Amino acid sequence: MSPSEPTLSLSRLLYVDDDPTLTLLTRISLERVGGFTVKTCASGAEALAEVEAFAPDLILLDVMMPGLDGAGTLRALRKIPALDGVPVVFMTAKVTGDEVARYRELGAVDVIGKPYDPVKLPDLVRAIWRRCRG
Amino acid sequence: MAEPGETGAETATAPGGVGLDIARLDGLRRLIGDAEFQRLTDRFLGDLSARVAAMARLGDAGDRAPLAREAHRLHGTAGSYGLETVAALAARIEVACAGAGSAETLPMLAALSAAMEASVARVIEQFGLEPST
Repeated sequence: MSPSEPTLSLSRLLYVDDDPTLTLLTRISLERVGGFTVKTCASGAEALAEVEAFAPDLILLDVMMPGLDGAGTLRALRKIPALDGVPVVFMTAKVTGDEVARYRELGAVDVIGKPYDPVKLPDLVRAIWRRCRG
Repeated sequence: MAEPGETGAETATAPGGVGLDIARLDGLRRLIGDAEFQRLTDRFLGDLSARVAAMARLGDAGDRAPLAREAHRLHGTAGSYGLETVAALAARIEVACAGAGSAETLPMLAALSAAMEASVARVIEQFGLEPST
Protein backbone atom coordinates (compact mmCIF):
# COMPACT_ATOMS: atom_id res chain seq x y z
CA MET A 1 0.00 0.00 0.00
CA SER A 2 1.38 3.43 -0.82
CA PRO A 3 1.75 5.97 1.97
CA SER A 4 -1.04 8.09 0.54
CA GLU A 5 -3.47 5.18 0.29
CA PRO A 6 -5.28 4.99 3.62
CA THR A 7 -6.07 1.59 5.03
CA LEU A 8 -9.74 0.60 4.98
CA SER A 9 -9.86 -1.33 8.23
CA LEU A 10 -8.97 -0.09 11.67
CA SER A 11 -6.59 -2.33 13.56
CA ARG A 12 -3.43 -0.47 14.53
CA LEU A 13 -3.63 2.38 17.03
CA LEU A 14 -0.87 4.60 18.32
CA TYR A 15 -1.73 6.07 21.74
CA VAL A 16 0.39 8.95 23.03
CA ASP A 17 0.03 10.06 26.66
CA ASP A 18 2.48 10.96 29.40
CA ASP A 19 0.34 9.47 32.18
CA PRO A 20 1.42 5.84 32.67
CA THR A 21 -1.59 4.89 34.77
CA LEU A 22 -4.08 6.16 32.23
CA THR A 23 -2.00 4.63 29.46
CA LEU A 24 -2.27 1.21 31.10
CA LEU A 25 -6.05 1.52 31.34
CA THR A 26 -6.33 2.74 27.78
CA ARG A 27 -4.10 0.01 26.42
CA ILE A 28 -6.17 -2.65 28.18
CA SER A 29 -9.35 -1.06 26.89
CA LEU A 30 -8.19 -0.86 23.29
CA GLU A 31 -6.44 -4.24 23.20
CA ARG A 32 -8.58 -6.45 25.40
CA VAL A 33 -11.98 -4.85 24.90
CA GLY A 34 -11.49 -3.44 21.42
CA GLY A 35 -9.25 -6.06 19.87
CA PHE A 36 -6.85 -3.50 18.41
CA THR A 37 -3.10 -3.72 18.07
CA VAL A 38 -1.84 -0.85 20.22
CA LYS A 39 1.47 0.89 20.57
CA THR A 40 1.82 3.40 23.38
CA CYS A 41 4.26 6.29 23.60
CA ALA A 42 4.90 8.46 26.65
CA SER A 43 5.77 11.64 24.78
CA GLY A 44 5.40 13.42 21.50
CA ALA A 45 9.08 12.92 20.79
CA GLU A 46 8.80 9.17 21.35
CA ALA A 47 5.78 9.05 19.08
CA LEU A 48 7.63 10.83 16.29
CA ALA A 49 10.49 8.38 16.62
CA GLU A 50 8.26 5.30 16.54
CA VAL A 51 5.34 6.20 14.34
CA GLU A 52 6.66 5.28 10.91
CA ALA A 53 7.89 1.88 11.99
CA PHE A 54 4.56 1.10 13.65
CA ALA A 55 2.45 2.43 10.77
CA PRO A 56 -0.77 3.16 12.67
CA ASP A 57 -4.20 3.36 11.09
CA LEU A 58 -5.20 6.03 13.60
CA ILE A 59 -3.41 8.09 16.26
CA LEU A 60 -4.80 9.02 19.67
CA LEU A 61 -2.94 11.99 21.07
CA ASP A 62 -3.02 13.61 24.49
CA VAL A 63 -3.03 17.41 24.35
CA MET A 64 -1.25 18.43 27.55
CA MET A 65 2.14 16.76 27.66
CA PRO A 66 5.46 18.10 28.92
CA GLY A 67 7.96 19.00 26.23
CA LEU A 68 6.34 18.57 22.85
CA ASP A 69 2.62 18.92 23.50
CA GLY A 70 -0.23 17.47 21.49
CA ALA A 71 -0.47 20.39 19.09
CA GLY A 72 3.26 20.39 18.41
CA THR A 73 3.26 16.64 17.96
CA LEU A 74 0.39 16.84 15.49
CA ARG A 75 2.15 19.52 13.47
CA ALA A 76 5.27 17.35 13.30
CA LEU A 77 3.25 14.25 12.39
CA ARG A 78 1.65 16.11 9.50
CA LYS A 79 5.09 16.66 7.97
CA ILE A 80 5.69 12.92 7.64
CA PRO A 81 4.59 11.84 4.14
CA ALA A 82 3.99 8.24 5.18
CA LEU A 83 1.27 9.44 7.57
CA ASP A 84 -0.69 11.27 4.93
CA GLY A 85 -4.35 10.44 5.55
CA VAL A 86 -3.83 8.87 8.97
CA PRO A 87 -6.45 10.42 11.28
CA VAL A 88 -5.33 12.01 14.52
CA VAL A 89 -7.74 12.26 17.45
CA PHE A 90 -7.01 14.46 20.43
CA MET A 91 -7.80 13.16 23.92
CA THR A 92 -8.21 15.92 26.45
CA ALA A 93 -10.17 17.20 29.41
CA LYS A 94 -10.38 20.60 27.76
CA VAL A 95 -13.38 20.22 25.48
CA THR A 96 -15.18 23.54 25.36
CA GLY A 97 -16.51 24.58 21.96
CA ASP A 98 -13.65 27.00 21.31
CA GLU A 99 -11.06 24.43 22.27
CA VAL A 100 -12.56 21.74 20.05
CA ALA A 101 -12.67 24.19 17.15
CA ARG A 102 -9.00 24.97 17.71
CA TYR A 103 -8.10 21.27 17.75
CA ARG A 104 -9.89 20.79 14.44
CA GLU A 105 -8.08 23.77 12.96
CA LEU A 106 -4.84 22.08 13.96
CA GLY A 107 -5.88 19.07 11.95
CA ALA A 108 -7.43 16.69 14.46
CA VAL A 109 -10.37 14.77 12.99
CA ASP A 110 -12.12 14.59 16.36
CA VAL A 111 -11.72 14.98 20.11
CA ILE A 112 -12.38 12.42 22.83
CA GLY A 113 -13.03 14.01 26.20
CA LYS A 114 -11.31 12.88 29.36
CA PRO A 115 -12.36 11.21 31.53
CA TYR A 116 -13.70 8.49 29.28
CA ASP A 117 -15.32 5.12 29.86
CA PRO A 118 -12.76 2.40 29.02
CA VAL A 119 -15.52 -0.04 28.18
CA LYS A 120 -16.98 2.32 25.59
CA LEU A 121 -13.74 3.78 24.26
CA PRO A 122 -13.18 1.19 21.50
CA ASP A 123 -16.63 1.80 20.03
CA LEU A 124 -16.05 5.53 20.20
CA VAL A 125 -12.80 5.16 18.28
CA ARG A 126 -14.50 2.94 15.68
CA ALA A 127 -17.29 5.49 15.25
CA ILE A 128 -14.73 8.24 14.61
CA TRP A 129 -12.96 5.98 12.13
CA ARG A 130 -16.18 5.30 10.24
CA ARG A 131 -16.89 9.02 10.02
CA CYS A 132 -13.41 9.61 8.68
CA ARG A 133 -13.75 6.89 6.08
CA GLY A 134 -17.41 7.50 5.30
CA MET B 1 -12.38 -11.92 43.60
CA ALA B 2 -15.69 -10.88 45.07
CA GLU B 3 -18.64 -10.07 42.89
CA PRO B 4 -19.80 -6.49 43.31
CA GLY B 5 -23.10 -6.15 45.06
CA GLU B 6 -26.38 -5.32 43.42
CA THR B 7 -26.07 -1.73 44.53
CA GLY B 8 -23.03 -1.43 42.32
CA ALA B 9 -25.09 -1.42 39.15
CA GLU B 10 -24.87 2.31 38.89
CA THR B 11 -22.84 5.18 40.17
CA ALA B 12 -22.68 4.71 43.91
CA THR B 13 -22.23 7.21 46.67
CA ALA B 14 -20.55 5.86 49.76
CA PRO B 15 -21.71 6.96 53.21
CA GLY B 16 -18.88 9.47 53.27
CA GLY B 17 -20.26 11.04 50.11
CA VAL B 18 -17.71 9.60 47.69
CA GLY B 19 -18.98 9.15 44.16
CA LEU B 20 -17.74 5.98 42.56
CA ASP B 21 -18.80 4.47 39.24
CA ILE B 22 -18.84 0.86 40.33
CA ALA B 23 -20.68 -0.12 37.16
CA ARG B 24 -17.82 1.19 35.04
CA LEU B 25 -15.23 -0.70 37.04
CA ASP B 26 -17.29 -3.86 37.10
CA GLY B 27 -17.99 -3.66 33.40
CA LEU B 28 -14.28 -3.49 32.78
CA ARG B 29 -13.62 -6.38 35.19
CA ARG B 30 -16.09 -8.59 33.36
CA LEU B 31 -14.48 -7.82 30.02
CA ILE B 32 -10.83 -8.22 30.97
CA GLY B 33 -11.08 -10.86 33.70
CA ASP B 34 -10.20 -10.87 37.38
CA ALA B 35 -6.43 -11.26 37.03
CA GLU B 36 -6.00 -8.32 34.68
CA PHE B 37 -8.42 -6.26 36.72
CA GLN B 38 -6.45 -6.96 39.89
CA ARG B 39 -3.22 -5.92 38.18
CA LEU B 40 -4.82 -2.77 36.85
CA THR B 41 -6.39 -1.68 40.11
CA ASP B 42 -3.23 -2.47 42.09
CA ARG B 43 -1.29 -0.17 39.82
CA PHE B 44 -3.90 2.55 39.80
CA LEU B 45 -4.68 2.63 43.50
CA GLY B 46 -1.01 2.67 44.48
CA ASP B 47 -0.28 5.40 41.97
CA LEU B 48 -3.29 7.40 43.13
CA SER B 49 -2.04 7.57 46.70
CA ALA B 50 1.39 8.74 45.57
CA ARG B 51 -0.07 11.38 43.28
CA VAL B 52 -2.39 12.84 45.87
CA ALA B 53 0.48 12.98 48.38
CA ALA B 54 2.65 14.75 45.80
CA MET B 55 -0.14 17.24 45.12
CA ALA B 56 -0.43 17.95 48.85
CA ARG B 57 3.29 18.73 48.95
CA LEU B 58 2.94 21.08 45.98
CA GLY B 59 0.01 22.76 47.69
CA ASP B 60 1.97 23.22 50.92
CA ALA B 61 4.82 24.75 48.94
CA GLY B 62 2.50 27.03 46.98
CA ASP B 63 3.68 25.63 43.64
CA ARG B 64 0.50 26.36 41.75
CA ALA B 65 1.61 25.68 38.17
CA PRO B 66 2.84 22.12 38.78
CA LEU B 67 -0.12 21.54 41.08
CA ALA B 68 -2.48 22.58 38.28
CA ARG B 69 -0.77 20.17 35.88
CA GLU B 70 -1.01 17.30 38.33
CA ALA B 71 -4.64 18.14 39.07
CA HIS B 72 -5.40 18.16 35.35
CA ARG B 73 -3.84 14.74 34.86
CA LEU B 74 -5.56 13.30 37.91
CA HIS B 75 -8.92 14.56 36.70
CA GLY B 76 -8.66 12.55 33.50
CA THR B 77 -7.16 9.47 35.06
CA ALA B 78 -9.32 9.16 38.17
CA GLY B 79 -12.47 9.89 36.20
CA SER B 80 -11.65 7.23 33.64
CA TYR B 81 -11.29 4.72 36.46
CA GLY B 82 -14.70 5.77 37.80
CA LEU B 83 -13.54 7.72 40.85
CA GLU B 84 -15.92 10.58 40.29
CA THR B 85 -15.45 12.59 43.47
CA VAL B 86 -11.68 12.41 43.19
CA ALA B 87 -11.91 13.53 39.57
CA ALA B 88 -14.27 16.38 40.40
CA LEU B 89 -12.07 17.63 43.21
CA ALA B 90 -9.02 17.46 40.97
CA ALA B 91 -10.83 19.56 38.38
CA ARG B 92 -11.73 22.14 41.04
CA ILE B 93 -8.13 22.30 42.19
CA GLU B 94 -6.94 22.87 38.63
CA VAL B 95 -9.36 25.76 38.23
CA ALA B 96 -8.48 27.18 41.64
CA CYS B 97 -4.78 27.17 40.81
CA ALA B 98 -5.46 29.55 37.96
CA GLY B 99 -7.08 32.19 40.08
CA ALA B 100 -7.12 31.59 43.78
CA GLY B 101 -4.44 32.19 46.33
CA SER B 102 -2.41 29.20 47.37
CA ALA B 103 -4.19 28.99 50.71
CA GLU B 104 -7.51 28.45 49.00
CA THR B 105 -6.35 25.19 47.47
CA LEU B 106 -5.37 23.68 50.81
CA PRO B 107 -8.89 22.74 51.95
CA MET B 108 -9.52 21.26 48.51
CA LEU B 109 -6.36 19.19 48.77
CA ALA B 110 -7.45 17.95 52.18
CA ALA B 111 -10.83 17.00 50.71
CA LEU B 112 -9.07 15.29 47.81
CA SER B 113 -6.96 13.23 50.19
CA ALA B 114 -10.02 12.17 52.17
CA ALA B 115 -11.95 11.33 49.02
CA MET B 116 -9.03 9.35 47.69
CA GLU B 117 -8.77 7.29 50.87
CA ALA B 118 -12.51 6.65 50.96
CA SER B 119 -12.55 5.72 47.26
CA VAL B 120 -9.63 3.33 47.58
CA ALA B 121 -11.24 1.66 50.59
CA ARG B 122 -14.52 1.37 48.73
CA VAL B 123 -12.97 -0.17 45.62
CA ILE B 124 -10.99 -2.65 47.71
CA GLU B 125 -14.09 -3.63 49.64
CA GLN B 126 -16.36 -3.78 46.61
CA PHE B 127 -14.12 -6.04 44.57
CA GLY B 128 -12.49 -8.01 47.37
CA LEU B 129 -9.03 -6.78 46.44
CA GLU B 130 -5.92 -7.11 48.52
CA PRO B 131 -4.91 -3.66 49.78
CA SER B 132 -1.92 -2.33 47.89
CA THR B 133 1.30 -2.17 49.88
